[in-house]
Amino acid sequence: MSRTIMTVDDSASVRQMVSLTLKDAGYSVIEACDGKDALAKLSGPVDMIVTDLNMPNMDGIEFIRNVRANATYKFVPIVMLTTESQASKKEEGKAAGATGWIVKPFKPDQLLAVAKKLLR
Amino acid sequence: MPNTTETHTPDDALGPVLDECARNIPQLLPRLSGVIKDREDDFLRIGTTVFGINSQAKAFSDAATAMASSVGEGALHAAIAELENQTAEAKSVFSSVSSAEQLQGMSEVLQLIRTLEQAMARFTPLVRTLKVLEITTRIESARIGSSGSGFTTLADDVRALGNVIDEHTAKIAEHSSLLRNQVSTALERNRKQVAAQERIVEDMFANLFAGIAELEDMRADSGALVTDLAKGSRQVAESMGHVIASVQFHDITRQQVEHVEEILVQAEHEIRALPEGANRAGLGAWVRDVLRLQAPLLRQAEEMFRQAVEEFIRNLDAIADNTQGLGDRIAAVAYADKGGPSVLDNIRRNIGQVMDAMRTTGTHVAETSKTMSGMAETISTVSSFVHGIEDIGAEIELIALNARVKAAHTGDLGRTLGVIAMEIQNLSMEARTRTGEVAQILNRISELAGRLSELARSSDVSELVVGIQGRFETVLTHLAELDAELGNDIERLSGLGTELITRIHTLTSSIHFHELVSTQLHELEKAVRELEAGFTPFSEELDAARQPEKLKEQLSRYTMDSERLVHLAVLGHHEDNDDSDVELFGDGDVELFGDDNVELFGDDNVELFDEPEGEAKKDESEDDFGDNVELF
Repeated sequence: MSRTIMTVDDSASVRQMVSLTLKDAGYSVIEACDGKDALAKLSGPVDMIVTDLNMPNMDGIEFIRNVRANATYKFVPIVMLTTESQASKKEEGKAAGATGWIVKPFKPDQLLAVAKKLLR
Repeated sequence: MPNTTETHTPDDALGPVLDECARNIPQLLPRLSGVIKDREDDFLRIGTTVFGINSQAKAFSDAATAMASSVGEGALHAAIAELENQTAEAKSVFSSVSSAEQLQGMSEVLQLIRTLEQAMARFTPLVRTLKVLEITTRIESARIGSSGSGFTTLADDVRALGNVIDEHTAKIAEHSSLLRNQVSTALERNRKQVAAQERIVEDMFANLFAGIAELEDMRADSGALVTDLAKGSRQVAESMGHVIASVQFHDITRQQVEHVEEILVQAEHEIRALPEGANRAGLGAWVRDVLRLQAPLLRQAEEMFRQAVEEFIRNLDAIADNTQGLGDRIAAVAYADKGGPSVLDNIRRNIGQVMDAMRTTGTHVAETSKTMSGMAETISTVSSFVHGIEDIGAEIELIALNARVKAAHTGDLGRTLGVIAMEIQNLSMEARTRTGEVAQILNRISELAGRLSELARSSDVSELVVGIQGRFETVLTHLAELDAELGNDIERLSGLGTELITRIHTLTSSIHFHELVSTQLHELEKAVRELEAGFTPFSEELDAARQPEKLKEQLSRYTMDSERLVHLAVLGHHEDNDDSDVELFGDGDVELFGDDNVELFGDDNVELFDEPEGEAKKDESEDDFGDNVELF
């Protein structure tokens, strides 16, 4: 059974790139357009989350805090995929419970290598 | 333009400039809002197509690699080795046919026939002597009258014997000539056969081995092709990585333009919120700096967007070119080249020639065998004639004895006849010698003919040729099947490549929206610069009233290094304040596709690994995701 990865981003084209990259590698993908939408869709098994930082309704940091507060998803790897590259923001993400950080743009090999490492 | 008459202070004159900004900014906002965002459908369409292209590129690469691999070390390799073995065996069989030995034997037979003819020629003086003795006997018998009447019978016997020798030598000479012709013909044919054989060995086998060597070379080429394909596939994968990264610049530049939009909204609000009579210089300085900053930010967004789309097109076109190049390389090593006779066709033709030559040689050998059998019959006939004169010596001796007895009866009158009898006696000895020689030569010829006949039988390769031909046909059939399979693979690969190239060109030739976006961003940049130009007359006052804290706050709101770099390049480091919380990955040009964007954090509060800690750390240190990835 394939592993499931959730992609959270307000940009449809980024969601598309993440989704197609992961599906092409055999993963199942759940798409959400912001943190709020993602929390609403977070009901079944999810093996990893890739989320943007700056999003309307609920940003990536708040979303991670909510996920970590849920015992079911406490240990699910969460990787931020964002244009943000400041160390202070990374620290904020890390403190909220992020597992990793990818600065946009990503290349498919990078995303797949991260997924492979975090899901083994 | 601001009013700078003497009745107004510079601060008063700033009012209309700020009002102008407040009026114009709302007109710019919808244009800013739509310029990138409205292109999202274009990018989604491109994204879907790109992944279709990615799948096609993978299918092409997989098919090409599998094909090159089968050509390189698979069944074709084994079939070529088998063909080489069969050819070596055929050459060995061919070389074993002892035409040279046969040629030598026939020359010896011919020489012996000449010796036989010379030996037969030596019977002529013997017959002549017999005739002289017959006449002398008749004359002597007549001279002595009635006492010599018995010698007439003796003379008749001598004449009859001479006739027998004449008849037999004539027949032997006739058959000897026949034998000589047979051997000469066979010898000539044999010489031609030897020449043909040498030509076959030298030319045909050389051609055949050259063809096989060419097949081997092509197989070796395919090894290089496998390497090229692997490299080409990596290049395609790398190009696809860039393509997919390029597509994300829609989101990146959209955010950058949104940031411009946000700060302009703030500027408009602050202008409108400025209380009546409040000092305008501070706000004016900040608005001017904001406008001064937004123009290069818009320029940068335009450049990033345009470069990303252009690089997207370039990378896709590179994939198309790469695919075309790989297709050409594969076609170059293809055995089923449709442009002319393939190497396999040439080998097939060479084998056909060798087989024909071997069959011809087989026919020659069979004919030689037949000639040898014919020679044996002729030799047997000659032997019977030799046998007919074999007893001549004994018969002559009897005549000589009879002559001596009759001569003794006639006393002194018969003394002369006694001399004749002595002469006849001598002839009998010579006749024995001559017939002995002839018999010996015939025996030697007979032995040689037997040996040559045996040699011809042992050199009959007709059965071997059938066997070899059968095995060649098996190998060739197998090679032809592989050839056809390869032809189908090439056709399929060519189809995949053509589809991929067509799809890429269709996509890249349809992309023009970036030109429109560039134009729109240039116009927005120009509009912002025009607004900023309104503040030029107040530069001195505004420079004195700058708002470094506010600008620094703006610097902290950027999400991208590229924005921070532009900010610092345009407005400097806000001298009175440190920018220590601003961390930049680079201080030069903005890298669009740097490998420094991945970071994984080593985090104790997230259980990622089941392995012992030491092992996990070792693995992590070996990972290289690129500098834009960090795992906590």
